[in-house]
Amino acid sequence: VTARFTLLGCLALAACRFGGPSGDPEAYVAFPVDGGEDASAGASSGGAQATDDDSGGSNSEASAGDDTNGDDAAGDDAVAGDDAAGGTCGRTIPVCDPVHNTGCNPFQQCDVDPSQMTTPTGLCLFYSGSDASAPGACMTTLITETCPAKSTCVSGACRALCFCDSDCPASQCCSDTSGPPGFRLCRACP
Amino acid sequence: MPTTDRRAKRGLACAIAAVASLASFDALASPLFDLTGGTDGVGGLQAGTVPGGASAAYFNPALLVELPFGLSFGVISVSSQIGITLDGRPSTSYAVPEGVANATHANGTPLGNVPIPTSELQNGKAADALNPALAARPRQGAGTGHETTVYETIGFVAKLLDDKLALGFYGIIPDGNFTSLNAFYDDEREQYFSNSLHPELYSDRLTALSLAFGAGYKLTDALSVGFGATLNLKAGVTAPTFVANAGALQNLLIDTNASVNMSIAPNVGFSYKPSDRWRFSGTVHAPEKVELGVTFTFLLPTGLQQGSTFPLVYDYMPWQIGAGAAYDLVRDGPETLTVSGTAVYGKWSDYLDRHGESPIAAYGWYDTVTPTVGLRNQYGSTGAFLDVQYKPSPVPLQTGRSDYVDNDRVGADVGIDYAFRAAHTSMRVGAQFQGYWLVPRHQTKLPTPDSPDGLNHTPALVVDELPDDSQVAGEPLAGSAGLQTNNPGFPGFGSSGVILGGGIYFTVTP
Repeated sequence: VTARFTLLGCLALAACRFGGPSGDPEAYVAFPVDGGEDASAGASSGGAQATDDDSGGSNSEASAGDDTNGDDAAGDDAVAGDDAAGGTCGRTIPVCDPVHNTGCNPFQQCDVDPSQMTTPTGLCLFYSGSDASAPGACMTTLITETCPAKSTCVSGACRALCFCDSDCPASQCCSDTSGPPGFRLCRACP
Repeated sequence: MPTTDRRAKRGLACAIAAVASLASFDALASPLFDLTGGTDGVGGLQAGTVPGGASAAYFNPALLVELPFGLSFGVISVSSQIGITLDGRPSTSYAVPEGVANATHANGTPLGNVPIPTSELQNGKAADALNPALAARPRQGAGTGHETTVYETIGFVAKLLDDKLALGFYGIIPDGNFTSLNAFYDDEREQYFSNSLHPELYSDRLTALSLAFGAGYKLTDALSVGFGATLNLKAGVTAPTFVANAGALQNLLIDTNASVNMSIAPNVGFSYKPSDRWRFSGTVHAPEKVELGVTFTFLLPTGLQQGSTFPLVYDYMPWQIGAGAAYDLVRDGPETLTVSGTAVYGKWSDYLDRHGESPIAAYGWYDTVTPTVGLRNQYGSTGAFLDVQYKPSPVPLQTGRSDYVDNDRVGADVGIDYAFRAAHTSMRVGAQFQGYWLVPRHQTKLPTPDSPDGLNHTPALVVDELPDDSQVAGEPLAGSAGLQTNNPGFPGFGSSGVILGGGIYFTVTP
């Protein structure tokens, strides 16, 4: 009996869990005062899950083509009308957040996981350190990428990822939807 | 061996190899393999480290080169008895009151997913002059987790190129209902369907059709490598619907357009024997899943057309990386005693549930390492093994909105294998039995703070389905203050259980 318990104890010690929850479940999400109507609608449809729902495609209005209700649920937009052009700042991305480069260990950076087509998902990669500023120079492998953090390789060029205008450099807007599904790219404001 | 016999054997091998190539198009992902382990030899729960049978085609194709040419059949049965116990609801103040169908926020915006009155969920609703009766849907009244399934197994190994190349195929085919794909929500949205919780990593995942194929090649006497693949299915179903009368849905008109695409999920492995007593192995399995996209479009007589698309994901298995080692403690004449250990890393943080959703970050899943150790004794023509495994659950305690049900799992697998000759043919028979204990687990939901403005400020916690600012026809709705929820897992739930399995097999080696 002692041997069996010793064996199970050794197995339990060898068993490991990594990662796991990365946020405070009781974190309070503040809504702007003047965004009340839209935020209210989003919250009632499931709160932050509306963000996940829409990003995952579930319950999305395919024909109507209007996915702004769920985005509003994140509720960080100062003006609801900004959603269509500037995106929504507060998004929850599984694994890690490639827009803000959070969720990875100190040795890696977060980029978009290209294997997840239905749910926008992050992927922790090693930065290979190459100069990818010139078009056609960037490259992503299973474990490395040449683009700096907070950007991704699109058509051979590193492009800054964003959820809303405040994620972009000055004079750029978060309005380019030609990037990975579920993400936007920064480009010069019109 | 006479030349004619050798030619006949090679001809048969080539024929089977050809069939294997064709059969590869039927290979499917399956979580079942990882529960049953190798059921056709002494591989057991370490079939990726120790050669056992044709099941190496899935666990580690590199081991196929060490198996004899042969064909095997078998029967296995797996019975899961997983109990889910819901805590009693603490007070009627948490119940959704009646009369919420037309409730809105104070500013007139709709509630979105309007909850069903809790009493109607629990007791149903009698028919009236206008509406038929609504059947009761009590909490956990339609739960799953108590299933027994019988499977047929089939496998073969073919050897080519002077036994340097081996091809293998292995399948577990459920009897009865061929396979089940059941989607459910893991939060309050399930109130509209089963109003119950379900084991996230078992249940319908144990009825998956499981087919695997692979090829191994012996680079040197000490080193062999292998490659296998499963196919990820991605089906799309579009159902354009004309609704003549929303009050008489039995008269709607519907077409369907379906398509199925496939992609390959590869797996690779190696086996290295640096000495007579040592063996090292490694495996990598790419993610596997079955995807189903359902698109509805509704056309009304008014010309209004709307639609929705729902992605469904079944049988998801993440990246898995395994490493193992085996050492012959005793090699004395006909007896060999081997100790072995295997660890498998599973990247469960990438998990997608049946609705294609990832767990939210505050309750993100863990990546896990599952260790297995065991002993194998071969004495003459008789072999036996014992494996013990501890699999930590990737699911964190569900103290918030989500209700993923899973437990740590402790298991053992024992088996025996006997080789003999009859009718001038080598044969093997064997049996194995496995038992798992799901370590009891309980979670209590964190309290959801009041939100007088009707907004969901704590989205990771149990959702207040009837916001505090709810009103009907301009009047505040009684009973909307505080938390009201039909989340089946509120205010907490526990789970535990056992999974028992066993089977027999027969292998013939011409």
